[in-house]
Amino acid sequence: MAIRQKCLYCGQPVSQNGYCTSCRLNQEFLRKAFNTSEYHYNAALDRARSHDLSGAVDSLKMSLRYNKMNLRSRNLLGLVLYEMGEVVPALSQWVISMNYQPERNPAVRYLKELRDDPKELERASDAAREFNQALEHAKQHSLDLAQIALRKAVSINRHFIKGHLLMALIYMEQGRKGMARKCLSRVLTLDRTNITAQRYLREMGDSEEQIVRLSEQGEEEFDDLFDDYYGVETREGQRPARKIDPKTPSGKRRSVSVRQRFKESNLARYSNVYMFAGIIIGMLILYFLFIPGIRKHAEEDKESLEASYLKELSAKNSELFGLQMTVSESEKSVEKVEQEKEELEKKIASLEAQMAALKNQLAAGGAALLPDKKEGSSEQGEGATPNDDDRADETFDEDLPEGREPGEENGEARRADSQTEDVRDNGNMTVSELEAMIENE
Amino acid sequence: MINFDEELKQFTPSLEVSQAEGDILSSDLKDISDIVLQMTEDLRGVTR
Repeated sequence: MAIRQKCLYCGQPVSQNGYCTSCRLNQEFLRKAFNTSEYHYNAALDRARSHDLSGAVDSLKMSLRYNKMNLRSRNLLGLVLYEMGEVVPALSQWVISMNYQPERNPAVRYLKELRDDPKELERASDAAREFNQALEHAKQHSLDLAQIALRKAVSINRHFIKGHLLMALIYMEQGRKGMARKCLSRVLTLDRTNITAQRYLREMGDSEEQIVRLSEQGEEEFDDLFDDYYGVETREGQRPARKIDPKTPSGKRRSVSVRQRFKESNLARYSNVYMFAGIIIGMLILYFLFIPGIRKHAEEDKESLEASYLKELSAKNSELFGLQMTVSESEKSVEKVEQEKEELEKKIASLEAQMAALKNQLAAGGAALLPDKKEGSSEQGEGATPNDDDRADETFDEDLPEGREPGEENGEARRADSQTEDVRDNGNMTVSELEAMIENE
Repeated sequence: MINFDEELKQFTPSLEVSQAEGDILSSDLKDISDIVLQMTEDLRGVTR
């Protein structure tokens, strides 16, 4: 038994009779099943391209029933469900597809894009939550609350076909056929052959032509769906209640796509703004980073200067104190000198008085002695006799007062003579010296 | 004529993102190969 190929189902070897050696499945049967799966995939692709989403979903489910490992069908099913606003079922299909084939699989890219945009998942989850609340309210016949929740859900996810259908059903229940028709028109725009929407329209009395027309007009109607003033439906012959919306110059309403179109901005226009912003940022950086350091350095310099000045000041103070001490000492010395001067002056005065007295005495004594001396000197000069003292004694004797003895008188006279001699000699020296001293002082 | 309550029954709650894991685990799609395999195994069990 030669082994030719691997089993299409389990990958095990296939025997010559066309049966798998492991799963015992007929390979011809499997090939036909896989071909049928591909056929339904192709049909689904055509339907999806013509915006027949519900038909595409049916075909893709059929394709997967023939071959659940048809990854193209599974990935396309995920895309179609995503387009219908069913994000979580789409995610499930892509995750299963990725598990079958982790490499070279578009589902990996889809999942990566969803994972990179977590807000999209949050929005999908919010829309699903609002829809579930609306469904609960509708089951409890709280139609107003259900409408509010559905409006939120549909505004979050505008491709949410189930939401539009439920809203149309609620409008129909409330008898507001116009609003219901708008919702159904939107559904038919997204999914041209939506059976439920077509059935609702038929129930409202629309013909097939009107249904086709509605599906074609659905895009424009969708823009107006939320512009009605709090969903107040206009009756026939009544002016429509709408929000005030500024018109474009041409008179036509601006579509959402035009308003949301990305407009490329000229960055060069804002160069001045960038420049000023850069300057301001630079100044802020300078203020917060560099100025504190500069201030710190300045404070340190200031402190060092203050310290040096204080040192100099203390040195000067000590020097001043020393000078003051010297001044006080010099003042004391001056006082001493002045005292000494006064004493000397007193001495001088007393000496002058003595000198005057001596002069007087000398004058008095000299007047009597001078002629003798002159004679004696002349005699001495010529060969004077040694009895000059005797002559002086004689003159003194003549002047003696009465009652005194001559011997005593002579002794006293001799002493006076000797004093006068000394004073004469000494007195002349003392006077000259004193005069010199007085002149110096 | 549309019956509102009957129509509501056709609407199923939408799945939130937090329920995705459970949805993936619960999905057990059987294709025609699985069914045939199951049938052949059942037949084998009967013949034995």
